[in-house]
Amino acid sequence: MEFGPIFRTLRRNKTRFTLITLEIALTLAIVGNCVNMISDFRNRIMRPTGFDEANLLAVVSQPFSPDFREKGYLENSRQADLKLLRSLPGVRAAESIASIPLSGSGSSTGIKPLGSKMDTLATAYFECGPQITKALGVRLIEGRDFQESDVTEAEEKNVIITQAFAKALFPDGKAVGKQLQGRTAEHPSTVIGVLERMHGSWPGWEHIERVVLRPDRPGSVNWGVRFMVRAAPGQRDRLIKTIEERMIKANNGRNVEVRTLSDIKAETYQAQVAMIKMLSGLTVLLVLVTALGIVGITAFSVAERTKQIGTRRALGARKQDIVRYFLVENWLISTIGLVLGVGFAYALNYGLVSLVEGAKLDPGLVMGGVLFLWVVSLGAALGPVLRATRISPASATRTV
Amino acid sequence: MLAYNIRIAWKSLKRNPILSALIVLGIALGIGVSTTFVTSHHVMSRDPIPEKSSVIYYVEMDNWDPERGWDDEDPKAAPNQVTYRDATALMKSTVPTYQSAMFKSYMYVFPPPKVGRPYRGRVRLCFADFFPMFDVPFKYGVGWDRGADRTPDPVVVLSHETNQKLFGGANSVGNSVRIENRDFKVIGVLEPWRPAPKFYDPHNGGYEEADELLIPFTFVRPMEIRTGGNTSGWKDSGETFEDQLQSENIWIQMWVQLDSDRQKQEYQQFLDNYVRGQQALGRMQRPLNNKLLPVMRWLDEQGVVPEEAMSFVIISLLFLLVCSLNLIGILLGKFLARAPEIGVRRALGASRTAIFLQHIVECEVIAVIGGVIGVLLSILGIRLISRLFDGILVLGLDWSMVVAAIGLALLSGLIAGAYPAWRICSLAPATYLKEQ
Repeated sequence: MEFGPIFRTLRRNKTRFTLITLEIALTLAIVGNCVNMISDFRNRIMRPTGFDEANLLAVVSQPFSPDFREKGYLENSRQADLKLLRSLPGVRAAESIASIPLSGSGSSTGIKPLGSKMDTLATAYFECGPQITKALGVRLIEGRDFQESDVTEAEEKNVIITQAFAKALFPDGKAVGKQLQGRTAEHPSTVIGVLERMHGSWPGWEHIERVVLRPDRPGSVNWGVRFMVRAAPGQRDRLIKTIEERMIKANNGRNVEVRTLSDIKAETYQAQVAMIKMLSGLTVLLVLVTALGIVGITAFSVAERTKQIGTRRALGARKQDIVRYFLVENWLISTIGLVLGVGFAYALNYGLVSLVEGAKLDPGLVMGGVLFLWVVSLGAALGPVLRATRISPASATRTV
Repeated sequence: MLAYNIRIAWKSLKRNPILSALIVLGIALGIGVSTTFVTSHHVMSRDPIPEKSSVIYYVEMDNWDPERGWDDEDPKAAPNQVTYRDATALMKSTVPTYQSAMFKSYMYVFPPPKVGRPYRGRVRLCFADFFPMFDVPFKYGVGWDRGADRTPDPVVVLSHETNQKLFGGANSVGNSVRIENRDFKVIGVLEPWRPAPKFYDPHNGGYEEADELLIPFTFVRPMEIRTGGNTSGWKDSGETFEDQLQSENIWIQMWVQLDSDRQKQEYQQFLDNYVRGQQALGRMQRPLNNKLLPVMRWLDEQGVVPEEAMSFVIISLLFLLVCSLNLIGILLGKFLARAPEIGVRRALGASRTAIFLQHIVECEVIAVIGGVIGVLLSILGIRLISRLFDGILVLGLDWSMVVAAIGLALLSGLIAGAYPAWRICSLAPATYLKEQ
């Protein structure tokens, strides 16, 4: 191998090779961090929510007729709506809930084990009808589900909580059967069941998996009445129009809005999706710029050494020797650049994470980036290098 | 001389159009990307009301749980809104030039049946001072006066968009709009007005759309209007509407205009006295923590600019750096390939300075073309970002950023070109003459 001559060439053209080394190093640092951020956002969007996401509809009934202000009217209308929704073909389950999960709006409260000295822990809570677990498709892993008899006027409620919140409240022990309190010990509630998983209202919140379900008859004139409807597979989109029309027909003193939970989720994660797109665009552009840079630099080093190449060819070097020479040179530069780039990538990640709460750089991802840029760099050099093989030995003699 | 250099530069670019296009595109991409993200950050973090931001203040006081502060991580933080009872008490002050408690609600608007179905409008409840305090621009009519706050008079100010929707954009002053169970008389119509960030109430995202209808705050009680924004509480707030009003729940924003330091001190005094009075009554048992926050401090504390925006600025500047490194490398190669030609020029008497200038001018020509294309790209980029963040962000390129982009391009052309130009002008001509 001709490492000796290559090193001497590199030394003589220090600036140019330093430039390309730095460029490759910076590219790895930026691409590594962009892809890291992309996968962080993606993981957040794709993480399991606990719901039967693909089949859920959120229905909002927003009353404007003064009738709804009469005592009992709203509750009667809620009951009628539930009956209507459950009777529609294609509906597997329906239940009312105070706010729509993942929508970005909802209620939170502070809760701790009854009599505990600890600070209360913040959690999302949903007032909901007793069939809510079926309507959301969430899985109960301990205890029992709600029954009609759990919906009472009493302040002391039987509640279902998520596994994540159960673990936070009772790090060493079962939650079912335990009692919970808010800031004061008044009106404690009792845990009757634990859900495997359910996401609350605010996807940006670190404790999105903390949820408490409280049986009630949710709905108010100001905020309207909300329902979650779980469709049979393939029936969801068809049901949107049907539900809207049937509910308005049943009571015209209100507006009815039906949306898929997927749409609501997409809207909530809109910023993350946008950032994924921006970061992907940046990554593609950057790799393109760097590849073009390598093409340019290699083309120049080939052009500059036309005579040497001709001489070497005249002295018996084969085409493949020329190709090897330039590819080894390219490989050497990109390797130095990539080693440096790994350091840069971690430095940049450190800086970015101290600025924004974000994921630490994934070493596997950095290695992937190194391999990828190796290939890109070789690929970029290939064109000009192949052109170098077309330099005829005669060119060595012509210009001297 | 300059014209001559520019001509040579142009010729040199034309000699290898593909390479030149790549060089220009490289720098254009760098400028385009960095300008896009710097502009986004700049727009998000700029002063939304520069002509008033030095004299208007957001009021905070600490009515929180004596046993546990508002923010576990920051003991100095005060709750970021005020209660109804405190807001109404503060409104009795005679110190501020202007003052308004305010909040957002969603209320049913009933258009004539021909116009459309009833819909929930975004309503701001505020005092008469809201309009002069924030320099709100009127297209037709005016805001209501303080007398209307006292009665309260059923008057409404419509946003430009609402006036379009309900009255087709005509001068609707004097017409009436039904909101929930009452008729309100239109007293004014605004010009298109959407402060971004929505500094006076950033609680539901700083870039929320503007308020659609504005009515006197004092309708809260007679119409039992609940907030449509954030409510936080720490104490049982009771069942009835009146209980809510008297509770420790916070859901109201309080703004004041204080034109002089004296006025500011007086108001601070008024606030402190008020809170001490409440403490004597058994409320507000936490240490005195009354704040008058200027607009930018307030927005900063609320974290209106997403933290990610800064990451993008850093990444995009590094992107520009890569493009510049790229440019240096390519220019170096391009210039050195031309060494024999330069050797001849030098031998015929061209000075080093002349050669240096020739090449720097060439770099700047590249940079200017790249910069102009870069600005065009960033206009595209900002459009793209605005579309991606539709409804969350409002962006636009302003002239200062165009100037900055071209400046940045010239600067990177200069920095990228200096070394290659120096290298080429310091070559000894003899070496290259020999080879010809």
